[in-house]
Amino acid sequence: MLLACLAMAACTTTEVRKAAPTAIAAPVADSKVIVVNPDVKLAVLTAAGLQEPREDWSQSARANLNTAINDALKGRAHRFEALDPQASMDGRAGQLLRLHEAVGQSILVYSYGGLRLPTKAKGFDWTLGEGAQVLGQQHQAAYALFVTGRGTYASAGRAAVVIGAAMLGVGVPMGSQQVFASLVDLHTGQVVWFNVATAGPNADIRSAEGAAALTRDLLKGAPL
Amino acid sequence: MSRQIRLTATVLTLMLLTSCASITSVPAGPLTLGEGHPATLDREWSDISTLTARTPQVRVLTIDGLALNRLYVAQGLKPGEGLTRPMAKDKPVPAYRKDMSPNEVIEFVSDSVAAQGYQRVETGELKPARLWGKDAVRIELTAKTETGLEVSGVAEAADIGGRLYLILYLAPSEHYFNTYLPSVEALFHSAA
Repeated sequence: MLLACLAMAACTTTEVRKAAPTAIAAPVADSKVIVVNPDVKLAVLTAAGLQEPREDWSQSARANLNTAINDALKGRAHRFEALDPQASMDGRAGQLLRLHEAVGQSILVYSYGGLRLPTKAKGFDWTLGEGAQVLGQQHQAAYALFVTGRGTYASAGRAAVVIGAAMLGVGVPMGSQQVFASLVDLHTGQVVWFNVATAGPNADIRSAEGAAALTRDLLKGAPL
Repeated sequence: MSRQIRLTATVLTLMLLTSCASITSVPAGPLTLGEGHPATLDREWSDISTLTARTPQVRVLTIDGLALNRLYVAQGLKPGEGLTRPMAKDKPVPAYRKDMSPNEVIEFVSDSVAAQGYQRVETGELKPARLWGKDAVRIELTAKTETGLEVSGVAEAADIGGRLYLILYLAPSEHYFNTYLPSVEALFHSAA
C-alpha cells in the first residue's frame, strides 16, 4: 500500500480535455501562436495550514516554466510569439487575459473538480467569445497558448505535522502544485485544448529540471 | 492572504464541496417565485444555490459557473435579511429594510454586490419597471473583480407585501454579459 502510494506520488499526472471534435480547428502548419508568459503563484503551507505567498518561488517557477515551454515548442511547425501579460493588461486585450483566467479557473472547478453543471453537460465547451479576435488582430496570430500554475509547498513545520499526524493515523495535506495549459482559437475564442498537470516530487517547478519534466507532461498531446 | 492565493483557496474549497453539494438543472419553462409569483425561463440554467452563502429565499443560477455568469433570484426577502449570509461576524452584509425608497433599494443592491467581493460598483440611472403588476426599479451597474475583470449587471426589484423580490444578473462585460442578457430580459418580461 505504502509502496503503491509512493509510486503514484512519484509521477506527474495529467488529464486532457478537448473541445468537441467538430469544434476543433487544430492549427494548420505555420500558424502563428501567441505564447502568454506563464502566470504562476506559489505559497508556503505553514504548520497551521495557512498559505503565505512566496514571490521568490513564483518568480523562479515562472522563469523555469517559460524556458521549458519555449524549449518544448522549438522545432514545431508553427510560429510562436511571446506575450508578456504584464505589458498587456490595459484595454480590451487586458480584459481578455483576465477573462481567460476566469474561464480557466471555471474549467478546473466544473470540468475537473467534480462539480458538474447541467448546462455544461454536452461536452467540453468553454470560450472567451469572439472578442478574442482582438488579441489575434493585435498580434496577427491564430491561437494563444496560456499556462497558469498555482500551488503550495509544505514548510518544515508543516512536514513535521504531517509526519506526526500520520503516526496517529490522520492524513494531513502536504501541499500540491497544479499547472494548466489552454490553447485558445483566437478567431472563435473557443478553448480547443486544455490540460492539467499535478506535479509529482520529480517535477518541482522551482527548479529548471522539474519545470522541464512537468512541461513535457503538460504539453504532451497538445495540437501544436 | 493575496487575491491569487484566495482564488486558489476558493477553487479548492469548491472542489472539496463536490462530495456534499448538488447542482440541479432548472429547465426552460415556467417557475414560481416566492408566494405564487409566476415567471418563465427561456433556457436551461444550473441551480448552484447549495454552493453559495445565499439566504434561504435566494436561488443562485448560472450557466457557465459563478465566475462567468450568476443570476440571483430573491423570492421575498424579509426585513433584516440580505442577499447573502455574512461570511464573518465582523463583516455584516447589507440587509433589506421595510419601506426602502427606490434610491435605498439601489444602494442595497449596490452594497450587496460589493459585499460579494466586487470592487468599484457603480450604478446607472434608476429606471421604472414592473414586477407582477407592482411598481419596481431597474438598475444597471458595473463593477470589477479583484483581478480587474470588468463586470456588468442588471437588476429589477420590487417590494411586494413588505418583502423584497429581486432578480440580479452579473457577468463579465467581455462576451458573457451580452450573451445571456436576452434570456434575463425575457425573464424580467415574463415577471412584469
